[in-house]
Amino acid sequence: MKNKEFWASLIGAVAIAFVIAIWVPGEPDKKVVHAIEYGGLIITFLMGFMILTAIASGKIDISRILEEKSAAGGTGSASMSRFQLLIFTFVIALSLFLIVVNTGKFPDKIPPEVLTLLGISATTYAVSKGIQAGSDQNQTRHEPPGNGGGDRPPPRG
Amino acid sequence: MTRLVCLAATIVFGGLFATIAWKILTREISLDGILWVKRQSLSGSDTSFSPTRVQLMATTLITATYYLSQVVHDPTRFPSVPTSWLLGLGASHGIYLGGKAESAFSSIQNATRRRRKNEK
Repeated sequence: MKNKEFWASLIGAVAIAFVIAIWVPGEPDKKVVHAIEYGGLIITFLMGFMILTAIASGKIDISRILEEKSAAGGTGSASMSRFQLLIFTFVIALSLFLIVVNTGKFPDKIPPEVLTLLGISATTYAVSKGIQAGSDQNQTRHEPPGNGGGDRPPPRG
Repeated sequence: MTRLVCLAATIVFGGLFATIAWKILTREISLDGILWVKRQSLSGSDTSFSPTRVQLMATTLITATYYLSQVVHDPTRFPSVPTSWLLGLGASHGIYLGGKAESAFSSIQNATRRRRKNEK
């Protein structure tokens, strides 16, 4: 019983499935389908909600999601490549969500422009990460001993 | 059932977007130094304002706003993105990466010079 929320969602889903199976009128085969559908929906929703509340409460820490590690391995400044990848991921996800909600079905095909947009964004992040890693490695190698990499985060604010 | 699925998805996805936006606005997710570049100079490490980051930030926000406005206007299909927009975005990212590579290269050069100077 380590994770109370998980067990609560599981018991809730099973309870709803039982309620549909016993008290809801209708043909048995349709009732089974409905019970599975609603049970699945409840489990998926509560799992998503649990993750969301954990992020909101700080139990899942995402405060460094935009930060680039410094050469010395400490906290660095915010990364522009991570930020733009986050923005484009959200924009495409939100667009897909709006389309599915409005049409009631998944789009037949994802246009190549969308994939290009995400591709440009993700490639920039990967290349930026490569440049940063190469630069950090070289700077650490050339840094005089005892300087700790000479790496300080930029001024805040 | 479809309405219930939409409601559940709206709560979870809307909540996720709102949580991340809230954390960025309250500075729990820090954006400090996002427009600044750090270089190794001959005297040590210094930070300076980066125009390449500013142009990437502007391009990203403009493209994202344009795309979202198109989707909100017609939420039945993915909007078509003009090739010129994609080229512009690609060029902007290229400029950013070029600036970053130049900064990294000059940092390595300065670090090497500093080390040689110290060895002498």
